[in-house]
Amino acid sequence: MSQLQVDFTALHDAANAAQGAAADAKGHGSADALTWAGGSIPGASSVDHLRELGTSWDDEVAAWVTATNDFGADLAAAGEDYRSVDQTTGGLFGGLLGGG
Amino acid sequence: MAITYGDAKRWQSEPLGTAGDSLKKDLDALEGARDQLETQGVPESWTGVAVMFALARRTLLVKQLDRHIDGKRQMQRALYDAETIVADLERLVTEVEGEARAKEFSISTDGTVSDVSDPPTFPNRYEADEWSRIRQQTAQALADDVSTILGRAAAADATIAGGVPPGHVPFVDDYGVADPEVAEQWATMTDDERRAVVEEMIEEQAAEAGIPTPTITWEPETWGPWGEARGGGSEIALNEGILDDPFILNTVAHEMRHARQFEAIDDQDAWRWPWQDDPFDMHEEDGITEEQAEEWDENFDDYKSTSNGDTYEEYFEQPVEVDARRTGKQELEDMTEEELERLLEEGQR
Repeated sequence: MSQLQVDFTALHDAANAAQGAAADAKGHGSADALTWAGGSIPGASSVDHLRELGTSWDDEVAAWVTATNDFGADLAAAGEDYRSVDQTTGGLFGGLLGGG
Repeated sequence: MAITYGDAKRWQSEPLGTAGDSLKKDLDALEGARDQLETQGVPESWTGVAVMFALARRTLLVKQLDRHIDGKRQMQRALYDAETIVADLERLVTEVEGEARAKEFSISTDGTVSDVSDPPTFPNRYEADEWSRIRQQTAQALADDVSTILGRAAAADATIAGGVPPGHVPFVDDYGVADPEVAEQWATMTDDERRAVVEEMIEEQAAEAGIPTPTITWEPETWGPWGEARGGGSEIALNEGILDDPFILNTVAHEMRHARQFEAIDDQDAWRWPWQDDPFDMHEEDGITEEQAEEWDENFDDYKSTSNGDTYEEYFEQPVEVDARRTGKQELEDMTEEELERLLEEGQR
């Protein structure tokens, strides 16, 4: 028998923390910095490498931001579900006790 | 294609440092995001089955960002290292340009040093010869400085390429990067020295594979491919256009690996008396299995080539090419300055 214990506020805070982390990471793929570096070494073979790496890093960070936002949204949805079930159950008990 | 003097003259160290600083700012932001997710992304008070899935997702996200951060840190270090090398290069360029101007020489974009002075009139032949000798010495000293500059440029280029983390740039993943010291040394070598190294490598690798030393054919730059193993590995063709790039060390090892593949196939099928040693043993000692040799045999019977109408992917992914590419990459990345010196010494004997 497993025990379920949820603090809705804590879950809500976690969802905010995840979405905050996603927002903080957004735009830090570094492609611009690498392009800037590449511009200072014309003719080097690493110019192309820097450009490719920058594009790949930007995509990687963007994908991480999306996945972390989704994670935060799922946490928030789970918290909402728990709260809703709790309220319904509370309402049910209220009915049983003659409050309905 | 090697870096020209005209390119190197325009190199600037400061943007490399600025880019490194910018990466540092991005790293700080990403590390903060990672820490926030790791410490606050799943509440400790949450229990039950769902929390396990949430923890698994959070762990995966943290690991993904950790890997990204590690790669970014590696590139940040590479940019700072390259900044130092390029600062040295800038100083050398300023010095050599000043020296050339002061002594009435010009250095073209391809690095050729020319005497642009008006020759004075001399009272006798001896003084004219002496003047000419000094001018030639000065030109040679300037040409040596240009060579040093190109070496520094190659080292900076290889330093940055070496900072590229795996999984982002297919060329780097597939073919590898030369050590900066090797790249610098290669850039300062003459073509004759480079050929001597290549010839020595081929001779030594043929001996290791138990095959006669293949003949070497130098194809013109317009030929297209970097290299080719012909006649079952009895001839190695190489593109002259990549002689000035240490990448040719990869190509040589790649083509010699094809020669080894042919030999392993032959030795696997070789008839022998029961009391004779199995010629395949030497290949097994070097980690080649009979299954591999069989796979290569089948592959060569149905070799995929774009000139036969196959796609580049079919060519690229066939077993003999995957194996040769791995060998070429390893050879390039394992090459050291000392080994290059040794190959040059042996090759020049």
